[in-house]
Amino acid sequence: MKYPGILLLVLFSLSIRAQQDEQTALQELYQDILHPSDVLMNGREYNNYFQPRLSSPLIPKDQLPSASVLIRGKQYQNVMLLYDTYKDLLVYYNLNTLYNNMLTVVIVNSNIVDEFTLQLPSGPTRFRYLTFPENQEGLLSSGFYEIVSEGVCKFIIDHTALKKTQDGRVVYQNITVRYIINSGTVYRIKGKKSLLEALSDAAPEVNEYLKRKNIYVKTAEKEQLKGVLDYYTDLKHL
Amino acid sequence: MKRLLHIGFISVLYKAVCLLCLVLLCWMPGYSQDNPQNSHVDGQENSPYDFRESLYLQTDRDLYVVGEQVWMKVYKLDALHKKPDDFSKVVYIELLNQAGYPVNQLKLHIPDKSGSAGLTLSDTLSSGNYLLRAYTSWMKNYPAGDFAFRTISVINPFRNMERIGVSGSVPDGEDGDTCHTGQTDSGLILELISDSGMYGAREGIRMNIRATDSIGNPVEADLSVSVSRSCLYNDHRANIMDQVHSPGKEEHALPPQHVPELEYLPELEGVVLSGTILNSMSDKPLANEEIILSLVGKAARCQVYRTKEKGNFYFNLDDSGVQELVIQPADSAVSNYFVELEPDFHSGYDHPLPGPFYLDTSRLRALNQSIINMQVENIYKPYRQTNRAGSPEISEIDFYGEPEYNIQISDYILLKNIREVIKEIVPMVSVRVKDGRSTLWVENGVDGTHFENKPLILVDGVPFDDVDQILNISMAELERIEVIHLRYFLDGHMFEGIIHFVTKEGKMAGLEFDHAIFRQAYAAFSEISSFRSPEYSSDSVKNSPLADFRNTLYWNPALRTGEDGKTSFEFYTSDMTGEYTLIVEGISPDGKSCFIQKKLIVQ
Repeated sequence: MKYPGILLLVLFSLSIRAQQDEQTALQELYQDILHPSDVLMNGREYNNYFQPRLSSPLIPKDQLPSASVLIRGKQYQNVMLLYDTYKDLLVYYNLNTLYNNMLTVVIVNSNIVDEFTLQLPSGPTRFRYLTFPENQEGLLSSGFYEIVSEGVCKFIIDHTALKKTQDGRVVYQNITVRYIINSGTVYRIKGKKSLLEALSDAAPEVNEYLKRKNIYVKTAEKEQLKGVLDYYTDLKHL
Repeated sequence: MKRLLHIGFISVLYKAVCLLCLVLLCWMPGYSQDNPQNSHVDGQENSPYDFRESLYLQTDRDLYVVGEQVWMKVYKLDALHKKPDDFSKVVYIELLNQAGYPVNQLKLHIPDKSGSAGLTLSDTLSSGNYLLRAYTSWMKNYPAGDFAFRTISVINPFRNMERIGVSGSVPDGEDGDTCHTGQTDSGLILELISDSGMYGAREGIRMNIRATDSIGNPVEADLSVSVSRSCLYNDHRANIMDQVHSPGKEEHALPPQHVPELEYLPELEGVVLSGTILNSMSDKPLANEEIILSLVGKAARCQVYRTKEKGNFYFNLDDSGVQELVIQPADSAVSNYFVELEPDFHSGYDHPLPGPFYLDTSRLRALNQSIINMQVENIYKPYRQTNRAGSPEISEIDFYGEPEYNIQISDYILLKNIREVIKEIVPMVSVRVKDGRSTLWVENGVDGTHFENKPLILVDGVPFDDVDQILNISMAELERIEVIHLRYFLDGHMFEGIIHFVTKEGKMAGLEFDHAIFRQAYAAFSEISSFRSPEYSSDSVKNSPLADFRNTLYWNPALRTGEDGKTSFEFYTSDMTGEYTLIVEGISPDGKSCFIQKKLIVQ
């Protein structure tokens, strides 16, 4: 044998792959038998409390079965999920089963959801339920947050809605608030100052990077800020 | 010369590209599916049957006296690669006597790659050899010979010991020299660093450990440490290397020729409670019927399952301790049924049982001292240490989360009965009487109309639809009423509102079902005790008159080396002088095993 090392590597790689596939198959078998019903059908019925034609706190606006959700380690694709930004609820539209001849809309129990991904205009957006102590002095309360980056520090976005009255009608205005969690401390990112405060242990380098890349933090796209955090992570790993 | 270098570079590049292609080929989707070895069950792709797991069971020593605890550690391994794995989350451990009957059983929740437990040896046990066996639910699909085993010897000085044979002096493998470095054929090296091998009574001992591979790189190893009187170890103690790399075990671990029918599911969350529900009149299975599992208690923990064709059902339980569970059809009109639960533990034993126990006559004196030690320990231990059960707390969260209304009865003036409470205090709920029977109805919280169907009515977590009995519960017994005034979906089943009556005792206030019901005490996870030993760090404790005659000085099943391959541990000697044996053994993340022992003299 000219290259026994290569052969061994191939065989090892094969066996690892096969074992992983078998574990996945077994996990799916387990899920199918233990949790055969629509796993998302767990929770209270959701009721619209707003006038959908006027304004809606639900995202995405296009109601299509294009979301995916990870529940107890299993991925469910192409399901119709909407996120109620005002009440911080994950809402599931069950298009397959009618109850009492009604389309059912369920508030999915947040404690069974590992994470979910919505197709927003800005692209696929991943959300996860983050838990914060109730008595903390920080800025955040437990709930669903968009997870943008999880390097040395975490970059999250809070999608929320403001309830307003316009022309005598109640409307919901969707807004996003950006946060960085570094070493357990939460920083609200409003502009360059707060960003440098969040990344204070490498502030000069980050500042230089912002100048070099011509990034204006206040109006920067989230991908640009993600790039800043990737740069910061690289700095920390050096 | 430049051309030669160029050719050499191309050759290396060519090899690298070939290698990359081969590795990518292995990882391409579908490759392993096309491999016939992976699809030998009716052409099924990635047959789950191909996945095998194995366990390694380790104890703090080999010989025990009744009344003592056997401290154990279980490592879970991927059977093919012998690497630590955390696939199954439940491990069953049984202590079998020489006839193969289980005399003690544990059901352990081990979410990680290893876990530990203590098993108390009852004083009803006879002296002799016993077999500890450990397995997962998934392993029950395969021959019991693949389970993990360990033989321990038990002495009961309070029962007839005439049946015990005696053997002559067995040459001791150890000559008293301290062994500071242990290496295995798998290449994991443990180095044990201590200041000396001689210690005084109640003296602190600190040991440093370094784990490296064969070329000196640090290894993050999962280890356990035991320190016990040397007479309580066998001369040729089975160690982790024997079992993890045993050729016999590997033969067993090969996939079977005939794939068995899938009977046992792996337990990937908690204990899988399975069984069948049958019509008691016809013995036919109740197929495609929604049934509810509930646990009696102050929190509502219900699950709904639609039975399979043969009336099979599966629920996941992750509570510890003994729970009282109730299984009943969701449709209360279905009454003639009975439930059969599948046993959790493996019933057969197609593996060798422990042979007769022979006492080594050269150790009689030391063993006699160990028996005395056990009795002294059992007298003084309650005064000295706080060895409390470290069982996980039972989840007290209702499946429906926060209710819309939570009526604490003590917050209001004492009313005459529950009917009045509902009428006066509980919002969105009303009592109706029809044909002499009372029913409860919930208003829809969205539009204020009454739901068309009856709500789910729970009493101490259990569905109970005899409203007249509920209304007769004494006000002194009732703690609170919770109301969900929305439709609620549970495992696909819809309830139009939920009303939960919680009593102060949480035991259903003596309510009686009007038909036969499956209600049974069920032991989910065993409560786990943890090893505690005294610390003589201060003079006041060191000079305490409380006797300390521990046979096992130290047991630490959760010792891990860090990224630098290093760790350390500390323990104290007891009042008992003599020779002790310290054993450290464990596994690295890539499945390399290690074992090291050292003699300690306490003077």
